[in-house]
Amino acid sequence: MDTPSGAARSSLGPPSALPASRIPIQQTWLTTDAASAAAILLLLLAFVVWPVLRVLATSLAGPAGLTLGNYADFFSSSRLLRILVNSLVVSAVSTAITVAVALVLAYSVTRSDIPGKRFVSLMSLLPLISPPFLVSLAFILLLGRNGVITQALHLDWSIYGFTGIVVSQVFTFLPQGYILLVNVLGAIDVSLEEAAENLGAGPLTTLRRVTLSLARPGLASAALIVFILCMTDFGNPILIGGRYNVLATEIYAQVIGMSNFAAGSAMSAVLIVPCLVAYLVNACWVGSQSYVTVSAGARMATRPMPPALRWTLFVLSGGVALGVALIYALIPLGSVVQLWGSDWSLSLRHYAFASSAEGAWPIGNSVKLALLSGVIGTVVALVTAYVVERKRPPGRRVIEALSLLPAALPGTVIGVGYILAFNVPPLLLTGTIWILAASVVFWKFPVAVLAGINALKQIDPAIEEAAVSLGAGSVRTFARVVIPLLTGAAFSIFVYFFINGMVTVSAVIFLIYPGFNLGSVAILNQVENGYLGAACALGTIIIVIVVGSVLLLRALVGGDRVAVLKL
Amino acid sequence: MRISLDRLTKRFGASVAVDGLSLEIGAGELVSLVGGSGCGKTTTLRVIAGFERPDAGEVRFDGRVVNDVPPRRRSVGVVFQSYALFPTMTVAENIAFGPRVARWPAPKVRARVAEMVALTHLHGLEERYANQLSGGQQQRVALARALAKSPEILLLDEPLSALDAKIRLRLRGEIRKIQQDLGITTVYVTHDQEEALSIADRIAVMRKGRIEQVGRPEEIYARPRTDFVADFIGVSNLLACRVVSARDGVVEWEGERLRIALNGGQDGERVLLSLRPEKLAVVAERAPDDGRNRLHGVLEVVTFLGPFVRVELTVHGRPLWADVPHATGAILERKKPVTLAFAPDACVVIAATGSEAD
Repeated sequence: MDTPSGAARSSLGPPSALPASRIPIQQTWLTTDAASAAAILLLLLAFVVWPVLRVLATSLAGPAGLTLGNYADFFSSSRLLRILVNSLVVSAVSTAITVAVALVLAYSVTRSDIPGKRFVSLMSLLPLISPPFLVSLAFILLLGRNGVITQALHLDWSIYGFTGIVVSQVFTFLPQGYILLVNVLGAIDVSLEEAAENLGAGPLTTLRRVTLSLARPGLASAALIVFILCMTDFGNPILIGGRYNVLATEIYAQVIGMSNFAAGSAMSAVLIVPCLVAYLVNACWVGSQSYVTVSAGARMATRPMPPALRWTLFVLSGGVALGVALIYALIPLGSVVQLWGSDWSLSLRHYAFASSAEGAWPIGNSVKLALLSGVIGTVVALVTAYVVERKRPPGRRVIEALSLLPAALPGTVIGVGYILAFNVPPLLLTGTIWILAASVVFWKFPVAVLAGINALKQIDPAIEEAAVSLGAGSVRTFARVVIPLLTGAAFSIFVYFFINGMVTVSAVIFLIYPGFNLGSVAILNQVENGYLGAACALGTIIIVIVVGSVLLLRALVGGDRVAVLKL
Repeated sequence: MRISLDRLTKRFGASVAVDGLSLEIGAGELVSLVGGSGCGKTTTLRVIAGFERPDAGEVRFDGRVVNDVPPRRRSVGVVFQSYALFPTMTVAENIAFGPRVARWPAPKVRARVAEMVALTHLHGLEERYANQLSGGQQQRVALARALAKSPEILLLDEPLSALDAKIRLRLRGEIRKIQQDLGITTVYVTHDQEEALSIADRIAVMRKGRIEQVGRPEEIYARPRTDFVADFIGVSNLLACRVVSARDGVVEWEGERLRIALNGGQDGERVLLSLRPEKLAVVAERAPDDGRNRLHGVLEVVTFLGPFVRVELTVHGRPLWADVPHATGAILERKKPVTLAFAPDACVVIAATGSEAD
């Protein structure tokens, strides 16, 4: 190797120039990667880990240093224990019903050829794009104290309480269960069902022994995820829960109502436990249970089924779809009626928002927040996905785990944690739009990062290697080669953050500040003050903005490239 | 059990997958449906299995129309291309699924599973799950499961397409042996013409939802009836000729007069000849006339294929293939002139010249 002298080699030109020019490229490469990985890790530590730690620290802090007193208070109060049990019971019931309904809908759409499948599918996804508690509002319009049905039948019963929370949560979290189960059923090779039938099994035997047997891990996963969503749900219980208190709303009452951060933090920690357990069971245990697809290529097709089964599916899923349609028709209807429950004449007076000094301004703030969250969230999520999936730095597992952790965190806990973490320097963010944007971005981070990772997995790594081998550095490869291929995913992620910025309530309700209310919170205020018409008007405007911007983006970047993300 | 397919038609939306197909399959016979992707072979199989309903025509088992019989009452065993093994069940449970669903008594089910395990050489794998098996083992389980209820018809959809070449060869032989031992009527779908030639009693070559030719493998190979069959089964040189003298068996190809065995035909008629590469021999340029046709060409590509060498030549601007033994000598060099010879009866006249070669 060292026989040719340096002079002799350099006279050859290119061969000696090659290694010399390569080393610096390699070095900038490494430093860019390390820097981006470190930056992301820092962001996650600051906006995910630190707030949670602050909640835990506050819950353990007493006048005389470290104490378990706050937890002792919690577990010795029969009222608070009652609330914990309420949370668990209502979530379990809502979860069971939601998963059952979602299973019927997903099975109808993936396997049957019932008429109106597109409508069923559309209606199953609709609740994704609205503030999570509009369902409660609709049920109040139907079955509340001045509800249509309550009045028509002269009931002295109203839906407030346990029943109200359950029915509202079922319709609110239907999309998440539905999307998961459509994917689960869609991934089951139809040949398996054909094989069962070929071997003599009837439709019900096939359904039980093959389809449902294969879908079991998927069903468990859907149940655990919906359970977390129900446990952490804030909007529905606060609107329609009546005197049936749950942890998420009690935390709000303690922190915002009584400024009792110690008690609120202890409750937050208690609320995190079941959520985190469900999350870990899903991630670790259910994940390992799922059946590897043995087949070469899964075919998805409708199967002929006996008319009785087909019509049962049609009636069930058609009924649910119509129910969703009715719920969403009630909101705009409620906004144009003079006074719901007593004066049914049409009127646009609610759109004047005379009932509140801020008028329709909170909606403008929501749009601002949604755009800000959309831009920041998309950039951070895509860079994170790229670093995790492609660069694989040493701390990659940690980055991935921290990115997904917020899926187990209740919005109320995020809210409390952000107040505690960011009301002091160096990160003094309370009272600015940045804390709101950060809460939306990092609370909704898991789905966005997963979407980014999935999109990257679709792209052949050889394309990047080609760019690098042609001399492009890390940044240039990402900007010129990877980003263009991720346009579809990027827009989907943007839409996801945008929608959440428009509709989220549970975290941001802790973080809004005087002069900066949000549309979703304003709806709650209006309902609390008894102005159902104004609440419906705000809800209608939010839905119109969300649907309008999704459609606009789809028109701009083309059809199906913008998917409404799950969760 | 005999299978009769009578003018079957199956459409998917605007496309016609099976187009008026008729085929008789005798009891105990193994018929292979072979053709390129989208030729309708799998759809035909799925119609026989009962997974698809034909839009027109009849499927008859022993003369009985079964169009309205659901798959589970057809006494048909299916081996799926993806195997479709139930991943939640063990090998034994997969095999026992059919008998159990049919409510066979437990001892009989156990005995049957043992019998099937022996038949398909799955000893010791009974308690494994599908994802703990190799591709070849999964294939055997799929076969055992399909046969467990002693069906009267066996349908195999590309059963070997996902396997390595070596295992494919071995399993092909095993499937054939089991099929012949059981004497079960079998339809075997494959895109691999070599597999079809080696395993089938008869081959049905399919194209665009129709059967292009049916016959015994040697018949199909030696006497392809259309240019498509000639091209699809084995390798063929197709020569578009004009009959000069039908009486003397003389045709003209690219200005060259060739003597061939013509049955009938008229002077001036256009015919297509199929000439298998192995029927062409490389001879010395000035070899004495031995009654064989001579063609002079230029050698373009030499491909070593193990037992022989395939040479591609250009003759009158047309490419021709010839398979020759290794010991032909040093003449196999690129761009060198080469003389080919073939006997008058080496060509097959293809009647149908209407279909474009695709």
